[in-house]
Amino acid sequence: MNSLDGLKRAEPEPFFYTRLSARLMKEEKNFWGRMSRVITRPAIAGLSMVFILSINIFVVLHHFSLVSHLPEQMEMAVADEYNSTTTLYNIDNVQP
Amino acid sequence: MKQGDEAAFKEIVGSSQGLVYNTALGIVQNPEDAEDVSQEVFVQLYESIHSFKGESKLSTWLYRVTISKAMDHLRKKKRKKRFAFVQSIFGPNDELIHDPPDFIHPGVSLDNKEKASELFKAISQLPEKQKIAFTLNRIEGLNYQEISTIMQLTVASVESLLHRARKNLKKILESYYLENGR
Repeated sequence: MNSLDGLKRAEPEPFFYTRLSARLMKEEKNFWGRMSRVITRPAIAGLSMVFILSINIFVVLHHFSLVSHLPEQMEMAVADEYNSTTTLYNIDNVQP
Repeated sequence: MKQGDEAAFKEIVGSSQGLVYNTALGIVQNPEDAEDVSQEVFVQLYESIHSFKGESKLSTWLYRVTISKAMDHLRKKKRKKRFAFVQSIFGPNDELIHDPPDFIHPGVSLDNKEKASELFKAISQLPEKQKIAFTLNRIEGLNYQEISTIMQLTVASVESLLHRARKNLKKILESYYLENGR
């Protein structure tokens, strides 16, 4: 393990900053790179999550309220249907 | 720097590229990969400088991000190798998979190069945390306190990690020398 004694710090190849600048410019031009930088910002990611969760909760609650009112709605629909159809026979008023 | 001053950014890169590159190189043990990791670190610095709260020193932040990206890089490489091996079982594999040549750190003195190469091979077999602690201590020359700040561990934990790392390295090197009849 003494082979690392006096180890000198390694440096990158020359013109590292030039290559880095080129990469930064490439990332700037890349649409998905820019998008990922925006959507991964904590505030935006957090707000998006809250928004999606709210929509999910709304849909679930709305679904449950529809389901709970379904029997009443069905009764009303059946009643409407029977009331609106014209009857050929009127049992209470049978006339020859 | 926060006002996006390019000259300031260039100065920071100039003064800390050695720190980042040397740390990355110690972990990934490949100059091209270390350059890649270093660039990713500075790209992240450039993008996130506005949210840099300044609670820790910039160097601490650089070390942490470098370690994180270097370890991600290693894991990705391992996954690729595993996937390529599985592919080779099921069908023709056009991609040549070869073990890279032994890593020689450019900062090692000439008479120590061979032994250092064996040591780096052993370092690559250490568990993650031991590898990180050992790299920061022996390759970057940081003390226990500095390492504990970077790794967010107590000094005692760092001591323990380094102790176990040295023990494991001795074991690996001993079995290597025994196998090779030295």
